[in-house]
Amino acid sequence: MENFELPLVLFTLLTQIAVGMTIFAALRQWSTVEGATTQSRNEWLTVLALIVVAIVAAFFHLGKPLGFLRMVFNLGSAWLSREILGFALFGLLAAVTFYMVYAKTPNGLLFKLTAIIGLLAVLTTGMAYSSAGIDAIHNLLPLVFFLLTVFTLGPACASYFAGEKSKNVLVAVLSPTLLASLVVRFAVPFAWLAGNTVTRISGQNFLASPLHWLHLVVLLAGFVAVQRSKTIPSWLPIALLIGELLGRIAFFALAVSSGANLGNLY
Amino acid sequence: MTRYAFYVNAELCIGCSSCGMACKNQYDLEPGIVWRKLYPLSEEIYPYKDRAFFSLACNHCDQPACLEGCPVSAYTQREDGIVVHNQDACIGCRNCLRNCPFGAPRYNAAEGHVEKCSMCWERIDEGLLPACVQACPTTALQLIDLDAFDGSETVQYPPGFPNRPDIAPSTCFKLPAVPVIVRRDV
Repeated sequence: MENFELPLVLFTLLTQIAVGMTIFAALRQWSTVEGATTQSRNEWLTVLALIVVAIVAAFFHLGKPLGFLRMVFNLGSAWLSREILGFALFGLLAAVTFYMVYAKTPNGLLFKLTAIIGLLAVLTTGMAYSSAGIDAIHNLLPLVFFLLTVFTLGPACASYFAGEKSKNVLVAVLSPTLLASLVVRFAVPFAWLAGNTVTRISGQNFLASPLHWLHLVVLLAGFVAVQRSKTIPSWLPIALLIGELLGRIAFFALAVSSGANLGNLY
Repeated sequence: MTRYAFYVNAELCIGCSSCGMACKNQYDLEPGIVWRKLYPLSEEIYPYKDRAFFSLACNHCDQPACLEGCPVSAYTQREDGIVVHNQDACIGCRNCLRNCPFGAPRYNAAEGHVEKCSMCWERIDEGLLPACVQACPTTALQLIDLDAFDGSETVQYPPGFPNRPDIAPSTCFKLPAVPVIVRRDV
């Protein structure tokens, strides 16, 4: 089992929840279904809090945290630099959006822009973790996983803040996303078994890991609950958050680097 | 133009680890950190009573994934192909550890930065051999100039080493010899 990086787990997960919430907040508020209510102020405050906690968590990953400002030095080739820039912009826009919502002067264009920048930032995260040294995820799978998290936890967490009219839309998005997430996350480790040695070991690690299966159980339970009730129960976002947390730990801990197999068949 | 690379002759390597020890002594590495390591070939690759080894460190690739992915540009590549890591510029994000398929960069938790083989570029610039090459008692590990080297007996991606032409590691290998079994007539 590779080292799992709790700061990275928290950074990626929390920023993706923030982006998901932003997308659904922007969709609802931009379309003026809901105005700048107390609920929406709390929603944007939550988004901002998630970003702040994510950034603080990321500091704990760095060997030299004070050097973080230099992380945008290699925008030309490093997706990690682009990720940092993307989330810096996203955080800034979210802060401005929160201020405008708080001041009761919400701006639909700013909502949309914040959501789009957030989505682009998630794209850079997906590319940054498509690591060349880890065959199993040296592809678009990290991006797929991360987008599934965005569109799972985004609508789920947004349900705490959405008005009654909007909740149907959230259910309509969450239900198929949960199913897609379940299918993809179930199938991928089996597909890895057909890969080269290190990819196969990654697949075996996932299939033998309680983290992976608990994640799938939570997704399945969430899908069944949403299908039966046609609503998002208040316990579901918390359960999904725990599930995604377990899944993210598995992502960072169980995918094997090629370098771990030197001297053996590939 | 010179293009430096390591030549790992597994036919000559006896697995003494002098290379790794010389590297460790040269750079006074922290306990537990090695830049050059000896990897025994598994029985699936070398199914004989003899053992065979690859002595591996950074492969100073043509398209270094560490350099490409480093957010603070702590890696640079010299004209002679040596990939140099600047420990002072490194902030210890460890992205290079995830990007390198050969496990070359190592994280020094005590110092909060990554480290790796520099091919002893300071020694090369002084006309000396890298410490590992100089220490090898069997000449199994050599420094070569790829532009002048006759690679007819070498392979770039032997079994036991990741096949990554997209990154183009510069290390050349000579495969271990198949032991000759002498039988007497009964």
